[in-house]
Amino acid sequence: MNIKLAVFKFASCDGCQLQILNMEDEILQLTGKIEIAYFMEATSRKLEEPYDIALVEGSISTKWQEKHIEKIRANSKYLIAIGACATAGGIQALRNWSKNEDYSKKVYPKPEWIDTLAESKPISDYVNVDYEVRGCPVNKDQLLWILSQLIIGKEPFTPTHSLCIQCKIEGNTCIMVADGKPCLGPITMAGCGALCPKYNRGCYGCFGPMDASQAEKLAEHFINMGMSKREVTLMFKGFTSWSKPFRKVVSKYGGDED
Amino acid sequence: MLGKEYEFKIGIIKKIREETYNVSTFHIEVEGLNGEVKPGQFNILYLFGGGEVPISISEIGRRRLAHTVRFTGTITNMFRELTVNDKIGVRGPYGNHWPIEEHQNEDILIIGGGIGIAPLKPIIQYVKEKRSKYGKLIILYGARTPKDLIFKSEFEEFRKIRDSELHLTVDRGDEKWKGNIGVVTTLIPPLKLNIENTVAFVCGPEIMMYYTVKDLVKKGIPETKIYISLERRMRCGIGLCGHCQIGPYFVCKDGPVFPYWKIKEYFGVKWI
Amino acid sequence: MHTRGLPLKKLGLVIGDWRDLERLFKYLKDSGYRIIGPKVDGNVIKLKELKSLREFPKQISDHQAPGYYRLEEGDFFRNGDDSPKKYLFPPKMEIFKVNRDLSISFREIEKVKIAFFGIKSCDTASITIMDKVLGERGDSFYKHFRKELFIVTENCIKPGENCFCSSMGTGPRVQSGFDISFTRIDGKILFEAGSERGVKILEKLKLPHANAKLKKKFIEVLEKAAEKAKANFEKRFLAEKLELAIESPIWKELAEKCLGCGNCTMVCPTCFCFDIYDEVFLDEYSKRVRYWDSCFTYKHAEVAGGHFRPELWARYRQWLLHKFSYWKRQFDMLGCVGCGRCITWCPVGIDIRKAVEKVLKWVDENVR
Repeated sequence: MNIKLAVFKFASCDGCQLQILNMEDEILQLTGKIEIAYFMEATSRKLEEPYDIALVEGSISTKWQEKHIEKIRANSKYLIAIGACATAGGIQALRNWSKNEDYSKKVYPKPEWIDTLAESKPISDYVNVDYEVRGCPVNKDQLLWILSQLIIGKEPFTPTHSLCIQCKIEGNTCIMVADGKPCLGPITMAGCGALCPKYNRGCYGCFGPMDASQAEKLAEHFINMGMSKREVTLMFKGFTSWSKPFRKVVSKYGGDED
Repeated sequence: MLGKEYEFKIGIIKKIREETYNVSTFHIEVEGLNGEVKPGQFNILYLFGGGEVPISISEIGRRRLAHTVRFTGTITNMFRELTVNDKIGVRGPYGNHWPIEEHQNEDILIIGGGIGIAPLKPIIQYVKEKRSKYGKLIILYGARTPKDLIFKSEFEEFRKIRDSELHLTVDRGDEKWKGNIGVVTTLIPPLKLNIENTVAFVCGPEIMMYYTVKDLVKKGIPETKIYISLERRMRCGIGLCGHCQIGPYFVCKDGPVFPYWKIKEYFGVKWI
Repeated sequence: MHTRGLPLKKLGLVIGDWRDLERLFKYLKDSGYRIIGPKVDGNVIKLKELKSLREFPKQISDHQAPGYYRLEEGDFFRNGDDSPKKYLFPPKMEIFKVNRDLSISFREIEKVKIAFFGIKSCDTASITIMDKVLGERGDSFYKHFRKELFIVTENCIKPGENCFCSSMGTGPRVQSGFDISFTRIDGKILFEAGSERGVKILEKLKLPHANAKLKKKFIEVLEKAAEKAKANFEKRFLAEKLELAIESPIWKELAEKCLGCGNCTMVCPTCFCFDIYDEVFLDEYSKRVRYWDSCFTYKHAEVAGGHFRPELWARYRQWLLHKFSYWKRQFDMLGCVGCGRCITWCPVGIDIRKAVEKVLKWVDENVR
């Protein structure tokens, strides 16, 4: 029997859904094992609930979404949050540090039309999440692996160690040591394929904190390297800033300032 | 051949016995393993796509081996879906064994906690088969609640073994439970042991083994005659992958069974 | 195979120049070896395939300090961030493929003939360690890659700031486990053989013996290098002494800066932990893939329903005591060759030499 897969979107940019669409060849092989029951980005065809697997992209940002995610949870056997928005609140969680109106006034011509919650939060703050796939966007190989594991009836598993381990396995040179550039690799979860360091750019933590992440210690090290508090804050105040370990750093060094 | 050390044989599940709500015993028919299986050894079982998991052998038959599995991890949870005649990968047997042959003519004291009774069961089987070669057989077995006791259907058989005692205990009882309540160590002080001639085999959660050994030593059993079987994360089973180390020992190869004197300096060191 | 000790009597030090090193390179290449040696790759020297000895970074040096590595102009370089380990024990490698019916498709890997050319003495020692840890214990892939290995070692005339091979007894002059060594001295190259194979090849180069004056210079240079590559502790009884601190509170202090990122274990030329994942593709087949793992990861000692090393300080202790203490009881040797990579490539610059010193100091002050 085919697995009924649904893909939902909340506050997000659709980039993670795009990764699913990018699995072109694999998606063909998936048909026959998995049936797309709901995936607005790909097809307007809808199948009846309940669903076996719900992939949820995006953060909870409005009242309507609060209700909607509960309904999805109730109608899905297995709920997977995909991407930085769904697992950590996303870039839009930056507003969690300031007044909502400040942002909406700057962005929208008619801010009074905007009805949002004060904070953008991950799915797991609202409903029980069975598995989280990290990244901005998610890595499609990892996603395929997770779906494959579910097809054979296994709880998904992906490594939860530091990006550094993956970076070394890939044969990259440490840009912190060899270039003196700050990098969040040592405290960020692996899974992206060490893309940024491969191109000589510091990791900005889009996969969020690894297991037992020592974010505060790394922040302290950045300060010792000569970075200002503001620079350190900006390092951590990115796509996964609302994850607990990163949030702690932002609160410590940035507080309420921009 | 490259990767030969990880080659598994195909085993066929012949019988599944549900022990508790989260433990089942799988009787697997398999041929061509590394060698004769001895009490206390383990196999590494493989489920397609899921991966491998080390499982101790709870019954040794001529062609069939029983593996008692608790469904607590990503791979062991997949065992819930297995049915009779399903195929799984089996490699092993690995690790050392309870040195039961070296302790003939002695009284055998078996102490199991939770699923730790599983690797001890082959000793019971062995003593039963060679009954005249051993003295008294004393089995202490504790679990969290009556619902967590495994091998319940065999308790009567254990009791029927000539010159044997089976003492059960649970941490928390229920309405029906009339037996002892308390951790397994509470069963030790009242025991009448022939200290001079008793060997103890212990397996269970680390904390349980820690206190059990202390109480056994207090009772007068020498450290050289107390054996414990350790649990560690094991991935390869052949002393290569490094996960199962405790101090200088690879539990998968140097263990899992250790005479207490040998492991003493590391066992009980915090987070070793 | 490699002999223990040097057949110095047979050959001794012979003298040549850069062109003779090129001749040796060419000879090995023509004999079918894939030559792996140091080469500039971006802003680091890595071990890569060398097509010609011109790629050897003769005029380049490196500045290394804790958590710091920069290339600069100069005449002598040390280790980069990779080591022979990655060729003998690849960081990620498919072991075999399991088909849906549980049959196994084993891999066939072509015979490999690798010659390491210009690795340092510490790395040569690391191969001897891996021979015991992986080879003798039955890693079939290691044995496959190792089988035809040829080792040309460069004696280390200018150890770096983070080097402490001479304290670990692995350098700066290579003692065993090599086929041919060479030393750059005063624009000349001094060659020495370490195996019967090495002797035969050096004889083919027909080089003159070094005179007493050059031999003296050779000894002087390497003695000076040995002085430099020292830590403030002795190898003697190191394993036993460190273990006396097993229950010391010092580990918490030592791990204070540690991020648990595992870089030290990745760059270590002897760290051998690995994990095997099932990379299942739909329900069609599953690849069993071996990846380097690290005792610093949170999950390393975790089991379903329990955790044996949940705290980072305990994982730090495991690493350090494994390298310097447990290893000795496991393999009758130490697991550290003093290459200093874990110091250089630690993103926060934790210095294992200082950590060892601190543990020893704690033992001196607290164990009576």
